[in-house]
Amino acid sequence: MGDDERRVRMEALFAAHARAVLGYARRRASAATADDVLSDVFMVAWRRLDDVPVDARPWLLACARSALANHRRADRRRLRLSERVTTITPRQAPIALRDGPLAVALATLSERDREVLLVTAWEGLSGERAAAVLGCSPEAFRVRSHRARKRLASALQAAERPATPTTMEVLQ
Amino acid sequence: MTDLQTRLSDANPVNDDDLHPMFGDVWHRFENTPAPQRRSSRQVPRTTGTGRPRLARWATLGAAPVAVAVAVLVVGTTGSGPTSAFAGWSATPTTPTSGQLQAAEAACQQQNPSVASLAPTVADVRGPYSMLVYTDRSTITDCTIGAQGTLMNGVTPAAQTTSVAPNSIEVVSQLSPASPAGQGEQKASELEGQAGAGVTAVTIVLDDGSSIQTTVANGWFAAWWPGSQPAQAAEITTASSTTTQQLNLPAPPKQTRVAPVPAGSTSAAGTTSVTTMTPAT
Repeated sequence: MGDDERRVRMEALFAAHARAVLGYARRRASAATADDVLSDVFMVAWRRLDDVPVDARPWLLACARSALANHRRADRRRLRLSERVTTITPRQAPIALRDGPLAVALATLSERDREVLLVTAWEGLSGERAAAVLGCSPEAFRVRSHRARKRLASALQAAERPATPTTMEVLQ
Repeated sequence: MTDLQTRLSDANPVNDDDLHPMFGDVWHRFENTPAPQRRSSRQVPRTTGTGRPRLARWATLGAAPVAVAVAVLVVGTTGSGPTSAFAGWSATPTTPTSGQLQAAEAACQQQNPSVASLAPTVADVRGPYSMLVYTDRSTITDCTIGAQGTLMNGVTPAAQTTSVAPNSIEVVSQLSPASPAGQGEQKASELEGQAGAGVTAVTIVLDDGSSIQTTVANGWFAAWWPGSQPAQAAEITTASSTTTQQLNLPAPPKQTRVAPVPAGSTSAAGTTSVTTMTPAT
């Protein structure tokens, strides 16, 4: 693939998927981190353009998930250092949900359970494509999804009993 | 469980349609990222040193029955061949990809707040490029947005033709090169105007014989093309026939260069139309 072809393909990939990648990151991190993730993802895509499948969305979102994990690790390192040196503001600003009980319930789940649920609910992916994002088989995804829903339903019941705040940190 | 899924979906805190990532921003970061795996600069197709297209500020005027403005768009390229700046361009309008027009509208409105309340009169899509034309009683605003950002932004304070003869067209604005491109630069030309009742398609025939199919909508037509070939004629299609109309557009003046002029003002030559070109920001 020549440089011009690569550039055209990159532009097409960006036009078709950049919003989804940025949205995925923005739903899980601050605007600044999301912008960094967007750059990270498309730099990976540029370097590995031949590996990007025709159905690129799950591949790109899997990159975004990995990039977010890297940013979270970096934030944790910065925070540990900051405890010894000074106070800094973490870039990983929380996302606020209007549905307070749901926010509380989601916060009680593991990161893996949350991703199983949200990658379909928020990214609009089918089970098979969502499985590709999470790096598991469709069968494993179905099982995980079933279990995560049960846990969320249970947590939601508990969250709706007492009075709950209107917003809550969810995705930390 | 279905209710739970719906509740989760409804809780989505970010609507992708509200986001407007720009390719140029990412490209710029990429070019400025000192990474060991980075491709060498010779391998990376570039636009300009800053990663953004550069727009020259040339504008002059022509005389015609309707207001005609002439300007030049120059997009920089660096060692990537003569057409790389417009890679993916098509002589025939294409179907926009998901979100392409929304992103273009947002970019155009950012540069021209006055069009925020308007819907585009014409949306001409050619591969990754979206040209939006907004019209109201006193101005024509057009933007051409590529995946790497805004290529062109123009405001023409030209009076709209109130009546165009059926089955004919009137050119309202022409943007075409007025001077040779510098090294590593590439030019583009643009034509837009009004189409009379009954016109279903307009194809522009250039001096070199090549054809550009325009987008026709809401009584207007618009198209742009790489290069400096002037438009010679228009093939006008109606439900019953196709006719050819010579355009007889004024030739762009040579080496004329003026600074952007506030909308509504007149030029030094005393004509009544000015196209203001602003660089991509």
